[in-house]
Amino acid sequence: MLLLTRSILDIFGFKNVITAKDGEEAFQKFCYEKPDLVITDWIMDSMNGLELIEKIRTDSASPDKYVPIILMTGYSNKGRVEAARDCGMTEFLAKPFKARDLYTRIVQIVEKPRQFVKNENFFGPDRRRRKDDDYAGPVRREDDRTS
Amino acid sequence: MMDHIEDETQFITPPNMLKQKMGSGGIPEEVLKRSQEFIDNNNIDYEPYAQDYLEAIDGILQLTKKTRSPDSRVEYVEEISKNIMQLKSSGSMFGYSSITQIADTVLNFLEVNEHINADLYKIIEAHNAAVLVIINNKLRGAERKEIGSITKELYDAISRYNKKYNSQE
Repeated sequence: MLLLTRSILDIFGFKNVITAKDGEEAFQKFCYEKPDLVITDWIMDSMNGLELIEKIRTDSASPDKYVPIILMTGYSNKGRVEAARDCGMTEFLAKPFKARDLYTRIVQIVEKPRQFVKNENFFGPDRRRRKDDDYAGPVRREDDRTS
Repeated sequence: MMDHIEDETQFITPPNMLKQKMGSGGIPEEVLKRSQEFIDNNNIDYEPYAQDYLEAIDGILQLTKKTRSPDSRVEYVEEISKNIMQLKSSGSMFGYSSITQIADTVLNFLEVNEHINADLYKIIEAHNAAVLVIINNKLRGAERKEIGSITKELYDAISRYNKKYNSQE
């Protein structure tokens, strides 16, 4: 799967794609290489994807706590998706995926980046989707009508 | 970088490094098509990976059957789910859509069920048997006529389980 994902990124035209065989190696390479985007699997040896995300977001050795992170996984259960969101991922990519699915997540990160939220309970990308300013549908909430 | 503060919460807009490097315009449709063709036509030998997952599931299932600790049983089933999730994730990316479908069904089942017992073990065994037949016979794709008979035992086991434990809930 690592080889497949790497090859797709190569075809997309990404330069200097760095891979790691497990979570520990991923964090070491992240600190050294300082990539602009991280794509991680949930299940990995030594440190899983959620632990890696938490380390990137909070560890004092992390060189970029704001780096966009795409978490790939075959889990689609709501509770698990929420756990992933709460640990600070930027985008969620359900496996198996199509090339377009990966591309869409990258476009989302580039074109509609999320603000980061920092408080005593959480640090990571805003877990709420931004309001779509182009929305032209019906206004249903009372607050929307009066604001 | 910090934009504003609301009720002890800071809202921060980090620099968009990717946008600065990638610019605008996106990837041409032809490149996306080529990427998907690469996935569809990759010749990575998937069978050994699938075998490894099946062996892991079978090994953990034997431990689950042996243990008397309910907590351990829950942990073991979580480990089994993890391996089934890997089969679901990888199957169709290596041409085995039917493995993804079967594993997805069993994963969804395991994620919500609360009764870990012999009836559940039969479902896991039926899952493994179905996946094993598919990889041993290299039954790629999802629409093959053989898949229905291979998965019948699995779906029957799930149906029996649901009738027995979930019909009154």
